[in-house]
Amino acid sequence: MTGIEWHPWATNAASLIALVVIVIGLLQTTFYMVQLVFAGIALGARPPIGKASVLWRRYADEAPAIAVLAPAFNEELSIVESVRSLLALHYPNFEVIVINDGSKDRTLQRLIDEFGLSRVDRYYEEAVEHQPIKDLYASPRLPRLLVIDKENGGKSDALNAGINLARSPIFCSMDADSLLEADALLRAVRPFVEEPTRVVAVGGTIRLANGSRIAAGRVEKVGMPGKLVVLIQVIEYLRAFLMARLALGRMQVLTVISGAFGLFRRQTAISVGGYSHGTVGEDMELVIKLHRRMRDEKRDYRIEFIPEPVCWTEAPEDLQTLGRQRARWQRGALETFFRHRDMLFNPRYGRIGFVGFGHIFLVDVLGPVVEVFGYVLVPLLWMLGLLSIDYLVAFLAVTFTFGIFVSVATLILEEVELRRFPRARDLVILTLVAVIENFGFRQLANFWRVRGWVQFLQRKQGWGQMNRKGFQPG
Amino acid sequence: MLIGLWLVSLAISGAALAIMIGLILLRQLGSWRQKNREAERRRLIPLLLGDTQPAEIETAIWRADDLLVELTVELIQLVRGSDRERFVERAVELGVPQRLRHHLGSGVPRLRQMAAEALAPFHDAASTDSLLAALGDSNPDVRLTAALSLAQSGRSPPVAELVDRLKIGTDERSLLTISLFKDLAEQCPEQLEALLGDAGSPSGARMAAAQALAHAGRYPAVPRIAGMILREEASPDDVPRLLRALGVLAHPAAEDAVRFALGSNSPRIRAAAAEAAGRIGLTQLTGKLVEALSDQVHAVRFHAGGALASFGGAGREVLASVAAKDAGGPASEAAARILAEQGA
Repeated sequence: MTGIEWHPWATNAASLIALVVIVIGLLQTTFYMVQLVFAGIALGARPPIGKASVLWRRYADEAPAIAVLAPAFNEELSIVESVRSLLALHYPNFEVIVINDGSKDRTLQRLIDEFGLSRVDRYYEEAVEHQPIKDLYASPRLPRLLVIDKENGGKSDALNAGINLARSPIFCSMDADSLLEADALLRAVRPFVEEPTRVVAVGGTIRLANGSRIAAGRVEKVGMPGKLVVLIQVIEYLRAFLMARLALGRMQVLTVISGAFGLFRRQTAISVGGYSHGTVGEDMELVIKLHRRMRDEKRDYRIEFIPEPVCWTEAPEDLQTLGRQRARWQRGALETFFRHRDMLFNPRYGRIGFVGFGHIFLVDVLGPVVEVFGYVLVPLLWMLGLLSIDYLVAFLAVTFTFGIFVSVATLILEEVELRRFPRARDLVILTLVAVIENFGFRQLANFWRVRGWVQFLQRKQGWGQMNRKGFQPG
Repeated sequence: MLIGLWLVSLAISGAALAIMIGLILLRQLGSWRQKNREAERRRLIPLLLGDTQPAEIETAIWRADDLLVELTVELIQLVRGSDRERFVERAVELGVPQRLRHHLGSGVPRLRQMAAEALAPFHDAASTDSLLAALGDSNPDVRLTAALSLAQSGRSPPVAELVDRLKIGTDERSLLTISLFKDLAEQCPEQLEALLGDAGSPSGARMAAAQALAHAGRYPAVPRIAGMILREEASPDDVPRLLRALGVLAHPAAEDAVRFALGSNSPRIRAAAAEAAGRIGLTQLTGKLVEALSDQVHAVRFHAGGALASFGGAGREVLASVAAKDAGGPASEAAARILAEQGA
């Protein structure tokens, strides 16, 4: 192979391809470094994290009312415990709105039986669109609880129904099968108290509960999951929340607030039409719509992120489910990016257009395609003798070691500021996982994301089946 | 170039390895310190709760300075009344305020804020001076926390000075300024009333003052707040806050202002006015509220209906008659649904 004499255009093209892959890799690397620095600054600058009693004393008098919106679809096994844990949240003024999104099982009946609910009427406005509501249920014994029974329309549709029925100025979107820390609302409301006129949304950290001890709808003891596929996700979540979102929040370019936990100013969400239909990335879409509206109206606003763990969720434990989830996330990001593509590098949208959308473009739009392209083409070019094996291996080594460095650096943030993993052994395990994930998982994840790209091009809709084990009580 | 790439790789791997080893060592050290700390806590708590002489405690805690501060502050925050006073005295004898004042000079804003919060129960001149100095801190959270600590114990500087130093209503927009003013409304309501009446002060500060005065039940503020609405002194964004304050005060002297606000062009103001009418019990505005049931904006209809329902039997009768008329119209729907919601 090495004896073949290639035409100069072929070698030039090969060099160009390699250059593109390297430049994009370097840009991503640079951006990750910047994120690490900003995440460190953000963690260092946040106010003291008090105990729940201190937070209560500090914020209880002025904390605005919050409506917790919990969409539920076929959750008959866990819904009662979830609602009990929501009703036990430590917050001075909140309502819990459970939206039964056309469940085919006994979700609604279990709620009615357990909480003694009966049909009620409520005067509300259809400010944002959703499928018809069949009935509303409540009980005078539990004035904080309202259950909406509606026709199935998906999570965003269910949340829209909750937004319409909510009477609090702020709503909290979550998944009915996620677990909130008891003082999650008290922690998350801080930006709304401190900047009441500017803050329109706040995202919180999501952590994985697999391997942790759960009792009465609360994480009692944080533990490490046993399966490698979940351990890798623990590292990914740390990177995503403790590094990326914290840094993007600090830069005021946060483009996504996880659907598992986010607080939004209700009127502002209504003004952008609530959650969008026809997208699987409804959480990202809402945040981008808020940015767009605020920028269009030249409003002084903030979308914040708080690093304290506030919500626990269950990660997929098999590759098939994880692959579907990742493809769906990719599809959601692409749907939002292309719906709002005019914002990219548009001076009208300031840092959102340049940094926020630039980040999506680099990491979500180009990232997986270029990386997979690189996996296929670079070895091919080497086999054809157009690329040097020495350079190829050296470049791969830099890429992988940098990936490991970013993960380990995120562990510093976790260790210095939050320290939620109880044993030193956990840090060793996570560091080893940060190394292992580069060999096989990283490539697989990129193939899943490319599959999401293909599904996006095919205009595929729907969430696909999610196999969840359910939280295992301790 | 090739060697450079490998060197970069090696350097990054080395850094990652060093970080990992460092983290693990620090964690081991931290765990060891944590265990010691817990043992120290268990040893110190009975000493602090009992009648042990400060000198003996001083000897016992020679290596746990920070722990002593943490424990005494926790104990002070846990209790009230004479127990609290006893813990405060004990903390003073142990030099806790002195240590907290030292923290106020730290380079870390978070530490300064914690110290400012913890200094609230210490009323000695040096602590007061430190908190007063902290009102000029470069960090707004520290400034506000120091102000809250001073206000909780009646040591606050004049309201006008606070507004100026903390930039309340301009840079400082936290809702905690209302908490601050609520404390001050108990101690020097006339200063807040003066602030409310001072058109030259930032509107955000004036609104916070109105809410604090309302919370303290200061009825002399009613004509002033009502006058601000009638003279259209406040911006449309601020008027709902004034109306909410009038609602909290629930004084009938607010009638003219509420009536005026019900005719506003801003739906937010109309909704807040309807809500205030209900809270004050302004039955004389029933006609206006019935008109508001036909408002184009849902929030206005909702609050107007809620206000009528809050008037008791007479209000519900009005709602029932509106519900019976013009079936399917917005007023009728609002009245019927609100009645149904109330189980009437």
